[in-house]
Amino acid sequence: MRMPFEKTIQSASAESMASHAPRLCAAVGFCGVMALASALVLADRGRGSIRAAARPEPQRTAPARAEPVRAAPEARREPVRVEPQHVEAPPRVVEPRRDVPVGHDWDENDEDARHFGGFGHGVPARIIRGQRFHDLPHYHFHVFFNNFNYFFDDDGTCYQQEPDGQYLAVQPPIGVVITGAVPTGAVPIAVGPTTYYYLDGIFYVPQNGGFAVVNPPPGIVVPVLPSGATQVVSNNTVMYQFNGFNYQPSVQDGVTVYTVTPA
Amino acid sequence: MIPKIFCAAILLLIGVAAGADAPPATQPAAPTVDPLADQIFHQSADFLAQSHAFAVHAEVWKDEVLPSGHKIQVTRLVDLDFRRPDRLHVDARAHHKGRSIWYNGKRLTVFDRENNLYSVADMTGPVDQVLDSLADDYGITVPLEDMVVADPYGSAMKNVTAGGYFGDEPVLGVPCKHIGFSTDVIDWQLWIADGPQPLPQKLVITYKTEEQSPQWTAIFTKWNLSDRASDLAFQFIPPRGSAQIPMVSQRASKKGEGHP
Repeated sequence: MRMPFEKTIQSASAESMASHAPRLCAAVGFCGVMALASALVLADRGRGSIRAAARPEPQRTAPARAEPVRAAPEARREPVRVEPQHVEAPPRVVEPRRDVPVGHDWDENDEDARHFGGFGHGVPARIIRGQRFHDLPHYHFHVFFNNFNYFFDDDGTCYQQEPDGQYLAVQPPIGVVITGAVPTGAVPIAVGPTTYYYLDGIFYVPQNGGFAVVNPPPGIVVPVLPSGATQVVSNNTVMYQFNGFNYQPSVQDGVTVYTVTPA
Repeated sequence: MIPKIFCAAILLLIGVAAGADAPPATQPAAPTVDPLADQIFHQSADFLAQSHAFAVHAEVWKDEVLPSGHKIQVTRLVDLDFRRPDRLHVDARAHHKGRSIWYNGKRLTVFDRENNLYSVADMTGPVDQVLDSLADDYGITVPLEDMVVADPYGSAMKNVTAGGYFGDEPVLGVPCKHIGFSTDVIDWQLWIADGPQPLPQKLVITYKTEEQSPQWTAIFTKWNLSDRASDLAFQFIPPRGSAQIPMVSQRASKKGEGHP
């Protein structure tokens, strides 16, 4: 005995494929201060549960979804030929990532960038600050700031040249402005009217057609720790510290997030 | 002749106007569920509901639609231990990461295996109540929760609009009956073992309203219906070097919105 279920499934699927309805995106409430990092981190509630699909979406105040900023073509950074041996990068469009789906549900935060590499997210493995390199990456640009030369690659890694000629990966200084697009992999985080872009302990805000490195606003919540953060346990409370800021972990919507405050 | 045409036009206009005011003819269609499919699922759900305790292993394949448009599939392994009415342990692992939940009738612990951090919330009551509280207050949906509710049939058939039986198909060599149901949001299919223990062997959920209709698939193995799980299995013991972090409820976070 066959019921019209088969037809129902086919027609429903065809309709959904045609309409491409947007994902159920439940933006999340926020601990005390601001909207949580990438809304996608906490979207997709209830994956893998029939029961959850029947639950009404929570009535939460959706923080403004920070959309990535695409730099205007004329504002894109022009690579600077710093040394003769460096290949001059041709002008190219740097597509900012929309977001980093570090997690969707309590057990679904396993699809991070390093698993997918460039194929999926265009996010390469991070370079740890303090690493030294004989040469700069193939594509890089140069920024002169506060009497120092800084070199950035497209992944947002900042380098300074050492006296021995090698290049050291460093934390970019506060105030430096990179032109063009936000580095690949930066997560937009809406804080009031301001959209911050977070990447590995570096916070950017749009400024004059580029992105300025700034200190994090107190209370901002980020989805991942910076590489190189150190764990501190005090009074049975665990905390991480990086670059003069505390990263206080907590579980929100089933995933571990970090509230940033000055140390 | 003219008066007749005039009257007809008037009547037509009245009819159109009346039609415009009439409520739309589309009423929610009554569920069209194959009685055989309903019976097969009901038997399985009742069998689960009457099982005092069970453990099962699941390999979960989850479609992930990337921002680039690629649809890929990720895998995780889920182990579930359950004892009615108020003991639950779920362990989910993927690659080098993993998360686990313990519920011992008094408190619920979420453990982030990668960061060696755990979070505790005081909860009491049967598992159904805890699952609802987790979803509503903490935004957490426990994997395989459909298996552990007190009424799996009523819970899953809620909002079902259609269902059918698609014949016999083996899953990993186990003869199964293949049934499927549809709601407005998802289609879900279940393969139920054909035998004295009608246990689910495979579950596929299609999120048909989402872009590229991703699917979530679970293959169930290692069913164990013995009632030998000790209380220790549902008790979280902090691993060496682990640290406790707060679990922020959505209610608390909602209170704080907009107050920097």
